[in-house]
Amino acid sequence: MMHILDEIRERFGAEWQNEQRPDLLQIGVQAKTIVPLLTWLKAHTPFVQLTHLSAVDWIEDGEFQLTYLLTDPKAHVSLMVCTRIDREQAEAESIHALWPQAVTYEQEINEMFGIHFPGSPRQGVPFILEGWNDIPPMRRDFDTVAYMNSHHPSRPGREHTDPRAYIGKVFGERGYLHDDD
Amino acid sequence: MSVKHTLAPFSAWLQAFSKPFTLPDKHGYREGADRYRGWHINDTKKCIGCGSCAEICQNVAIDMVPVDDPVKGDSGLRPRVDYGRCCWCALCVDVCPSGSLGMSNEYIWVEADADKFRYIPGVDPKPWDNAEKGWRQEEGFDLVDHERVPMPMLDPAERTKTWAEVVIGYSEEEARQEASRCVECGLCVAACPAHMHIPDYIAAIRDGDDIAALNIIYDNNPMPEMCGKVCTRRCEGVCSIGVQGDPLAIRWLKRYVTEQFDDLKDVVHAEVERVGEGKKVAIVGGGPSGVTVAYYLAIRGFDVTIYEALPQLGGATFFGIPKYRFPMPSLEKQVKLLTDSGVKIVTNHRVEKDEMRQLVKDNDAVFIGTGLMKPYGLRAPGEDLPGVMYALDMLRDHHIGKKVDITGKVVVVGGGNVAIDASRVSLRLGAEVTIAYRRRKVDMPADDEEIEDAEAEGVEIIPQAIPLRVEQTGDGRLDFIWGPAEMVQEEEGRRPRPKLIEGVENHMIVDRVIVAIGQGAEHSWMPEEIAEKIADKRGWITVDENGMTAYEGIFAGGDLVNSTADAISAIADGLRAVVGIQKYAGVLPQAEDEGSEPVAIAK
Amino acid sequence: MTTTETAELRRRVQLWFGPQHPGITGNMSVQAWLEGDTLTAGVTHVGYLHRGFEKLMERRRYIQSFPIVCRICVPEPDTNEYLLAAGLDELSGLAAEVPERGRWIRTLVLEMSRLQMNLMTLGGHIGAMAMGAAPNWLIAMRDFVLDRFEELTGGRIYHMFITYGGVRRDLPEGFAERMEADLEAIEEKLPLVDNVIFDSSVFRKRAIGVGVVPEEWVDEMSLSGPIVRAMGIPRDVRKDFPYEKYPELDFEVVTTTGSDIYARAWVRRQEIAQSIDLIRQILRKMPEGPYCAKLPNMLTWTIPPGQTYVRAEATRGEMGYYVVTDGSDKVRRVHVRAPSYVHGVALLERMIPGTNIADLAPLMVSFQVCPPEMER
Repeated sequence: MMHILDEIRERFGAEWQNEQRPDLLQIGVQAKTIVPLLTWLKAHTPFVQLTHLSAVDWIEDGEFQLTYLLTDPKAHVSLMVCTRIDREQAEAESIHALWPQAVTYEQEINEMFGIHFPGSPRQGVPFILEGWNDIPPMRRDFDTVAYMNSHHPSRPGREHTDPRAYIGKVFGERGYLHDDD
Repeated sequence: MSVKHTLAPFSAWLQAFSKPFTLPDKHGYREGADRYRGWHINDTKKCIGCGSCAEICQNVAIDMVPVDDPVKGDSGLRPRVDYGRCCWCALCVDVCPSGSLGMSNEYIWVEADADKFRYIPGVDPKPWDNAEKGWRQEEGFDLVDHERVPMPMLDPAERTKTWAEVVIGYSEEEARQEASRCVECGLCVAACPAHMHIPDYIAAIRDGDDIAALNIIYDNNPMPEMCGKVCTRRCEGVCSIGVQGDPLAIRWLKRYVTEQFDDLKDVVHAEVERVGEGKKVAIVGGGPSGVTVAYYLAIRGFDVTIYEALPQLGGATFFGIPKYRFPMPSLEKQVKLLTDSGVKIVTNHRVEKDEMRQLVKDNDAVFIGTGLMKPYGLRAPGEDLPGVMYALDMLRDHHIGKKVDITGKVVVVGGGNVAIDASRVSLRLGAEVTIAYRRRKVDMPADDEEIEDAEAEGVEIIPQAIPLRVEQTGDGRLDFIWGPAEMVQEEEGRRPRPKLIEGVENHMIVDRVIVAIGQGAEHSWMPEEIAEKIADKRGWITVDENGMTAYEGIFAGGDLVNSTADAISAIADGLRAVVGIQKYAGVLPQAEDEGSEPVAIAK
Repeated sequence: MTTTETAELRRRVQLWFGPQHPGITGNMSVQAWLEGDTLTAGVTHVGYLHRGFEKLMERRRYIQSFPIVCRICVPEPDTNEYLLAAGLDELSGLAAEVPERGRWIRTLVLEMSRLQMNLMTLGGHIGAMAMGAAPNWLIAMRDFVLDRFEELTGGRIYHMFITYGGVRRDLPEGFAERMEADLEAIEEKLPLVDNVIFDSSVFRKRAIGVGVVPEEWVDEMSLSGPIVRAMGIPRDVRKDFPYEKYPELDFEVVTTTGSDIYARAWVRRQEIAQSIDLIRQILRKMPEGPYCAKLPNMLTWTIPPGQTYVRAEATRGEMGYYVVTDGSDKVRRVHVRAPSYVHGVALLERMIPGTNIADLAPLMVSFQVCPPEMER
């Protein structure tokens, strides 16, 4: 039997593949092949379960990664299918027709990353957040500390002295190679 | 539905008559488990204020607050815990490099005022301060890395056959790994006489940015390759990781960085205003203090000339330190940066009285860093016999290329680094070497590693040996006669003194006696009117906070001025004079005068 | 929820079940629509205790993430601790260094955790039917286990114990004996509990044949845990994707048939016995030696780029951590695959139509929905 990763590569093309563990295979494919690939996997291979669906923000590349984790419940092997989509035009095809519980994953990813899954029933419906009016919070550029400081001011009376800076100051540490500004 | 199933729910009622499951509340208080994570305690005497607890706290529940004056090895800061944020994860306890922080097994504390739940453990008294039970560090689980990456060294048997460097140096991977052990507390900065930006260059090494590391190092040390090889490294003595493990190999990390670059000119970037254009400075003595003054003034546009009596700059680091520790190419590389920066160097030139007078007249400032060149005598009969020599002379002659008359069996008298250097050089010249030292081995001022290396190479050390006299034997050899000493504690808190045990004489037949018991200043070259003003009877020179002597315009530094007699202290003296001379010449930029924060920590 | 769906639902009685409803499994709510006392539809709402743990971890060093994850399922924190450690151990290469004793203590903690959670859930089963005595007994039994947790980990609920490279502390002196005494105390009382639960006409009437999950949904929705085992399918991560020391332990996957609330409670009851047996086996087999690998400086630790998915059997089903690293000193992404995520939303919503309102709370307990792990 042909190795599943090689078979996928042959049928759908693949950008990279990796055997992370004997029971965890990983493959990177183009976004447009996701639905045909997952449809094929569910119909013609033992990878019938959708165990997980996740997103990762690669802000420095201007991309989101979508990760679909499928499991073969009989042979006990999982297959991680990864793809990258544009961060500005953050849109991906929904897979809720294949696995109904994908609706929740897609709803949450939509809420937390701002990735849109056209046709998925609960897009735009809040899952966890209520009255959220900031950028989607799981995006890397959402600043948790700034958000906290503006929404939950700290109690007064806290003052931290950083030992490193304090010692330098007290003992007159200085540099001679640069002019101080 | 059977009768059994119908009756079953009522069986619960039967329990009303049996012993309760739950424990009766006899005492109104249940003691927490032996390793319960309760309110914090801190042994403030053990605590060194490194702030690793605050650093690891994921809730930002810990502030470091000043409770005492900072001293070397203790920032004087202590952690204050905010229980509005603490999650009792005890990572602060597990990371604590000094092992001072713990948690009591006490968990009840009632207050009406929420702000009361914030205190400095060990400083603000709490009922659980002396709790014996509660979460403590346990052997087998460390959040910091206590093991130093071992430094590859030449095999001891190979070493004595060659002048090659004994220490091989870290590879890139080893250096990065060693650098990653740092917790960046900065205690080392306080201990370093020059207050080098140690945590910052270590962080740069860890992050793989050697160029940044080198520039941070050069920010206040113009001879880092020398320091990277032979520094007395007071920094490592106070390293917080060193409290329970091996201190960071700060010296070896500095060495690693400096060894990555063959030519420093294009790598070290001075970004200073050339405020000193048109000003002239003469430097007498090309040791570490003089080099420091020369470099940092030259990059500021000063016209700087160094006068050096020996054929090479470096002072004691050139003529005193053996080449298997600090090879010539390392020194030359650093000297080249000086000349590249515009420093004029006059070697093989001993400044004499008249010339000195002229220098004072011709220059805006003169810096004296001539060091201690006059060895102390043995102060025992027979010290003038042929075959008795001074370590300092012997090392200097050896390093300037003169033939040194070392042969057969040699006894070196002394316990400092010079004694060790003289021994190891003698070994390499083919001698069999014994060291005789007045006190115990633990009292030896020489670096521990140096002592270990010397012993590994075959040097024998006789501690508690007081030289009585040296006599000539019939066959032209020397009889070194010494008496054993006992250690007497004369005053509480001071180190014990060796006292001769009368009536016992030991004989050691040797070919050479090398005396290495210290050295003093020598000012015969100095015009009387200057010497009288700046030096005391023993030759020590006193300077003010700007590094200036009592003679206006003359600055001084190095072994002449400080009592620590190491290169890094000399560099620190030089740095002080760099500011002092600029101030004296009236060209110190305002910002620098105020001593604003160095670039490295201002980030 | 689409607009048409909403319009349709508006014609019926709407009931908010939770987030403070005493019969619910925690801070979540079910927006339900009723006809008579039969539910016609329901939508799960979460977000009442969302603290953004996954996001917080992206802003913290690896070691600083470790005290956070226990909060992802409050009553059963150890699975989370194990999975974060396992994921990062794997990506950092530390996995090969975890000492044997460390692995055994990890397994012990995981099994103790399963034991106390199942005790509590079994109490919940009958508590949701308004019977008070048995839950109290079961909670007391759970407290025996928590005593041992306190002694071992320094905390009763948030153990913060399984970490990178092994565990944080060795077993205290005499731990095995005290554990054994507690196990015996629990075993002694269990028949009593059996009597008021499994033999009780009230429980039987309300649990047998109620809340039957069809077998076809297992693969379709990726169901796991007692829900699947109550259908007679022997699926258990401890056997299927063995981890830590489970391969060296002797146990059978518990299954029964019926796929109803009773069957699921029965599976849990059997797994309590199984956990007791496993804890005994573990303590017997526990080797001497170090309990944690030598760790690098946790303040500067970096992990090479990579991604993995690790899984473990929580009492609720398959729990998984999707962990992505980027070479820095912080995780790029941790995404918790929680069993309740599927069981509490997709499955629950699908089960609600046709359910009697009185059966909703028992149904949710039987799915063992744990709200904090749904919203993380």
